[in-house]
Amino acid sequence: MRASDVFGLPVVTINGGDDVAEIKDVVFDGTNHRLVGFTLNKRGWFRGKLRRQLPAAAVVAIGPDAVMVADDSDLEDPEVPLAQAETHVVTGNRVISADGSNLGSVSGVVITTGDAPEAVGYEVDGDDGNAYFVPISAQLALSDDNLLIPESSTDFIRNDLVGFGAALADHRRALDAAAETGASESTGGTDT
Amino acid sequence: MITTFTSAIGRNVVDSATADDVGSVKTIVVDQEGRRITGIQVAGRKRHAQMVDWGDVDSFGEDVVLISSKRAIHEPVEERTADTVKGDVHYIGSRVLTVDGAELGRVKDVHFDTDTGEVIALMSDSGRVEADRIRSLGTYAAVVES
Repeated sequence: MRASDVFGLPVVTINGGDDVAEIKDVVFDGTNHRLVGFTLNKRGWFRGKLRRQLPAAAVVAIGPDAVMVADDSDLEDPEVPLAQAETHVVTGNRVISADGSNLGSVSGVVITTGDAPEAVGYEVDGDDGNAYFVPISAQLALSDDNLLIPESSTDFIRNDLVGFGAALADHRRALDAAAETGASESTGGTDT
Repeated sequence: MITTFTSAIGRNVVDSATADDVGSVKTIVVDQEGRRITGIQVAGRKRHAQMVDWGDVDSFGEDVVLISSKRAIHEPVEERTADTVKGDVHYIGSRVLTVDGAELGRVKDVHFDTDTGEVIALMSDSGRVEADRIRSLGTYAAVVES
């Protein structure tokens, strides 16, 4: 799902059945394409920023109606609050394809919803008016201005989130296969 | 015997030693795990909330709830009991939320064992939830295994 779909969801403890916070924003490490966690708001009438944060690793599940954590103690009171600015480093960046054409600009982050959610893709606001979903891989090159999509990922760009899920699995398999081929070639080299 | 929360509420509460009417069942307090009744609130003439621990309930009968003695009645002491009396924690009407974060509607009724005080199952908008699937009952929801 889009990371932005999580905003405003209650954070509920499985062991207590209490709503201990609600999701304010995602904390995303743009350099490593990694979901770090979530900043939180208080619940109830007197909403306001909560100092405590929710690390991605502590999330048990992200559902349509709530973000589930085991216990209230899973919310961390960070020594060094994660910079809010980090969440926006990527959005707005130009997205450039391997053949050097402009695809559009980054509009959001796609995350998985299960145990310890991860960032798996970028949502791109296409210059042609369409939305695109680009799988995250180690080969993505990112600067302050641009996101460069490697050729290996080009085939796995999709227009819809549903198709993107299947494309992600294919993308991982393709990367694994490439890694294996590389390994067997080097083994072949030592044999001769 | 197995009975339901909705039918249990309103039953007369009687002191088994003196046979005096004490009041009627107002609310039923369940532990944080959502599996066991810890006490009942008695609606009577007193202004403050009157609680009876489950251990002081001699017999949870079809028509009448017998308690060991009027002296067993006390004001809420635990935070959880206070939350229940205030209405913050309440099975009937509570959201049902799976551990995956999906809502399954609301709790319409609860089946429990009148001998042991154990919850047997929840009746929700989307069907029956057996007690072994219940993870907790809190201020926001009853959390259940999916």
